[in-house]
Amino acid sequence: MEKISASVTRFDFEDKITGKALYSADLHPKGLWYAITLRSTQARARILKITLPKLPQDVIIVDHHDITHKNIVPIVYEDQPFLATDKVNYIGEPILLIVGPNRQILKEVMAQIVIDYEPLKPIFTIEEALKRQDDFIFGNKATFAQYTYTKGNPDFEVTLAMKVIQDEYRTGYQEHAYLEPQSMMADYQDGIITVTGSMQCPYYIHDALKAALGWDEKRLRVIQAPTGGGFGGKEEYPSIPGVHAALASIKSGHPVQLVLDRQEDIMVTTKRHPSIIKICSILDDQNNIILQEIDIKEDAGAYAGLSSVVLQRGIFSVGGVYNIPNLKISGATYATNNVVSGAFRGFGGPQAFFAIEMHMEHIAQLLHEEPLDFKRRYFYRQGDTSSTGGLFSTDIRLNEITDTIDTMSGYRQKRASLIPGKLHGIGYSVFFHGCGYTGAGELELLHSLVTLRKNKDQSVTIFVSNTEIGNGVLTTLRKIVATALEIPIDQVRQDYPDTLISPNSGPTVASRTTMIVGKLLMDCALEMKARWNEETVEISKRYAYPDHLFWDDKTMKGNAYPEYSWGANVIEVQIDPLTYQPEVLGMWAVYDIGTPIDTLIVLGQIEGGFMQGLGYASMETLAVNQGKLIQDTLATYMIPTAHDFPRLQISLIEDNPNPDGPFGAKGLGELPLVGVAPAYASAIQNAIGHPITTLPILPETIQEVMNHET
Amino acid sequence: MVNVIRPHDMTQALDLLSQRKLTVFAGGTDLMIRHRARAGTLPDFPHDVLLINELKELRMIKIEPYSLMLGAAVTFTEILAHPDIPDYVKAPLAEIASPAIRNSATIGGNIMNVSPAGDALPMLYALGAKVVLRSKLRGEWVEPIEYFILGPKRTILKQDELLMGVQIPLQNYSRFAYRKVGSRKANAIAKLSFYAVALFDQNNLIDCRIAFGAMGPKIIRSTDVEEFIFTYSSELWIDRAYDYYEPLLNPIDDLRSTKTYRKEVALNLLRDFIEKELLNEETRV
Amino acid sequence: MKLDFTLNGKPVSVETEPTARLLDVLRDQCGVTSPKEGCGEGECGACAVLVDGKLINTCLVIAMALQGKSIVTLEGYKETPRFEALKKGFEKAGSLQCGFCTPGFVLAAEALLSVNPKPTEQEVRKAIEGNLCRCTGYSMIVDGILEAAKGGEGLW
Repeated sequence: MEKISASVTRFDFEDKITGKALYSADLHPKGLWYAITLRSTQARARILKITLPKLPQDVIIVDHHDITHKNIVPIVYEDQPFLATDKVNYIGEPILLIVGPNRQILKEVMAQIVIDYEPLKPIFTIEEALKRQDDFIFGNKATFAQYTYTKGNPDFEVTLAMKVIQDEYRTGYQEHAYLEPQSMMADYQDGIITVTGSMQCPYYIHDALKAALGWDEKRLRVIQAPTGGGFGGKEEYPSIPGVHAALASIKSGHPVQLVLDRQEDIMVTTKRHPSIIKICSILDDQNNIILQEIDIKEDAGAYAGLSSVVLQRGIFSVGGVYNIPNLKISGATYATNNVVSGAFRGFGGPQAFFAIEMHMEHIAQLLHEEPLDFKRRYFYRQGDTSSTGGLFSTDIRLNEITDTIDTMSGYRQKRASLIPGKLHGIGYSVFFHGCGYTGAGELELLHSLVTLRKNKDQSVTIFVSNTEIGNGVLTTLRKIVATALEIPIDQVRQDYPDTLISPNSGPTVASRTTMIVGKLLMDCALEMKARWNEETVEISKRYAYPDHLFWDDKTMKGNAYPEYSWGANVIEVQIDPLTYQPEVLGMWAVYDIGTPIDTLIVLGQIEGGFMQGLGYASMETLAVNQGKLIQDTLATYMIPTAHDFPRLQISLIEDNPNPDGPFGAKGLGELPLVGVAPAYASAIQNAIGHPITTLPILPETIQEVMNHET
Repeated sequence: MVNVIRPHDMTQALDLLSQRKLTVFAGGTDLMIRHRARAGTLPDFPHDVLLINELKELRMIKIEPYSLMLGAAVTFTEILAHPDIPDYVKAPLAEIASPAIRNSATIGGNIMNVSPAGDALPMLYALGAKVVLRSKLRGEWVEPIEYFILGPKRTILKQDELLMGVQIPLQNYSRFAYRKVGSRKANAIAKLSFYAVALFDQNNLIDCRIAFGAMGPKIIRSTDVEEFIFTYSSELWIDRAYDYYEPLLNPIDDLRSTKTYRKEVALNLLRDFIEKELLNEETRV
Repeated sequence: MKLDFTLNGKPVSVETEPTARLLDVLRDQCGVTSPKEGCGEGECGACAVLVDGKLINTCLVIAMALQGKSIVTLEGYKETPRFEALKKGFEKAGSLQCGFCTPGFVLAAEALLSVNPKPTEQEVRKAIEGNLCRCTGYSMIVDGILEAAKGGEGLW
């Protein structure tokens, strides 16, 4: 183990364990007012009239008229308003804010507001979107984005000697269920609007304020408060409540707190994209896979948001860890009048790996081969090219990962000895996660800037916009800098980002913070070390796209990601024959994430991400009916408790350092969630002897599959 | 604004109830959800609140050889901590919600909330519990729980009447089974539940009670079916149980589960109880 | 109404509506921030405090019910030696990440250890079954509590 990996006490530990950490809803500035949001009750409608009651003193209304510059959330496409104008496209879309000092009165005023709607013809499913010929939600087509790419020669003639194996997989919504609901505090003072809140990306909110207000940057300030979990749910969404709170503060002249009620949060914030994935494999007469044709369809909800990027990661991941010579991969993300789908840990990867892993398992079964052996025939190796023709220039340890997890779990022995009919099964998945922004996005979209400053008192301060959301960022970046400078870690300072002083080092997403931002800081530190004798030093560095990578956005050719982390999961289950409830008997995970920067932080991220994957696979059902989410409270949306699963056994490959990462690190945040569902599903499938093709897999699903097949 | 009245004693409580409609409040864990308030706002109680959680008449636990009396405002934690209350009474209560909820939630509240998924109810029905009621006009009387409860959120309790507690007949049940099937292992509302107790005299089954929860608007228990099944010889119990209970179970599809699942699993649990708890003893001659 | 109770050992008197949620009274009127609103419906345990030594979800309690009671929040509890043991245990085991659920877990641990100073792993998991965490996957919190029980020998 590298010396850097040895755990230190987290820098946010003291404040959080003593309760001193102030999340934005804990702030009580003088003269505090509150804002609550009036939202659409219709999935798709025109707003004909809004009738306000006579407003009590000290209550003001904020609506789209108060947006002085551009009422469009700046995110990839320009289709989503901050506040609805004359149309609404999903249940929960924000229409106006009610602002005042007394929340009881705000609640009463809200109940008296009457909105006359003219219902329009909604689209509620991907199937409905496919059928629609006109009256589209987004422009003149059913999709927000559509992509296709190929590898090799996918259009050869299929002969009779070849086998054709086709599968279709479906996955559902998932809610982030961060323990801290979305929360913002805005304060307009002396011409400057400051938004303090729960967020992953201060500069996204900064851009949103710029768009909505049109003010000079000097008048905009965004500060991240301690944030109670994000998981992607606080990546793009907070721009909306952030701007809302700002508008309310500007109009009222008071600091304004805007906190979502939990039920409101579940109903209106972004969700993981539901998907329908079709895979068709062609095998030659030697039973080698010679072609895979894969199509992904996702439900993007009412506005584009990040759906195009989620789809991209999906199509770049759905080929799995397999080197298949000929590929035809397509994807489309559909506009529907459901809640907007968006970023969620894994970002299209969990859906994709569920599909490809279950499909490869299916082929293995048809060929009477053990999946462990069948899959490894196709494992990528260093020197191969990816599905998009990007060279894998570093060592890929899939064989070692597989052998390790087999030994740890006894997978192969158990698979061979399991008695059919006993409802005991074990499943294996193998997968990757691309670290950093897709393609050349790190350069073209982000071009991150970091600053490191040596102070007169020999302390060193880190200036980045990356956020501590539980992921350990306030600790890991300090460790990298301290280790590079060879100074005690207590000499390194880092605070929650503040756009007044923090440069834009990009968002805290895409498993990029340690690998990309950490590397930039390490480079600054190494340069600073050579200049250490100077009294004060300030070094800034911008991201440079590595020479050995290339990416062509138009043809989707090249390195889809700057680097990859790899992993395998095994899950063993015993299904209760009376209740169809699976009992997880064991769960194992092996990951190659390069050098762990802090062992406890890494293990914590793995345990937490894996648990979210288990929830996604086994209990987090989130159904929608006519645009309304059915499970919309924490009493009905089930996330795992301390009772539900056994301990996770974890092993890390620690001797494959990433030459381009700080001290050999790669990305970690999302990888632990990505491979869980297929390991769980194949365990269930193995136990019941029937195919599983949908997520989540509830006991009801197991019963249905078993009874349907017999 | 809603007032909260904490009565000094039972007389005052009953007096107030005889004068006007009040929301009777003990632990409040169901009421506070039903009348949920956003942060910084007040719960929307329609009437003034009568806070009875500290009235001593409602806080007692009295155990006699064949009877257990639980005051309406006794919490689940208190019941679970009591060394002399039998396991077959405690089992369903131990799986309610969470420790913090069990510290506040009361047996009276669970009865009065009358949720089809109410965790205490199958046990109370199966054991033949009687609710103890009191009013200023009528004094005190008892009512079998199956007559007291009319349906979801509905009882025969009149405006001026107060649930004092519940009397649970006890027997030396040598076998019992309780299974709550939820969407996760803890802190979950039941999708369905199964409760059964059995009393043997040497190797003869002399009493068996079975109740199903969250399988319909009311708890399902049939004393007729119980008597009838066990008049057959034991090798026929499983088949007869299926024949007679199958038409009684008519669950629904809802946000938590499906009718197919609920029905099949309930019958599986019934069969398993008979196999494991009844036939084992019976055939052990 | 005037509500008089003891908060972290000190007498407190606030003017409040009798049906106000205890969570709001504590957060809005008593300057306490450690109990958090995670769900408002008693599901997540982030709002829990100790009322007369019992773990209670404050989002489900009305002010009037607090009359004369003694409440301990993390603000008070953190001054105790028992807290130090839990803090050491949580530090060693890596039991917190975003920290939002942490105050609830600390008090749930205190509620457990005060009646069961040497719990098994299963008993710990049962004691925290009403606390939701989305970051840690729970095992490291369980380890933190077991570590505290070991290191805090004699405190409970």
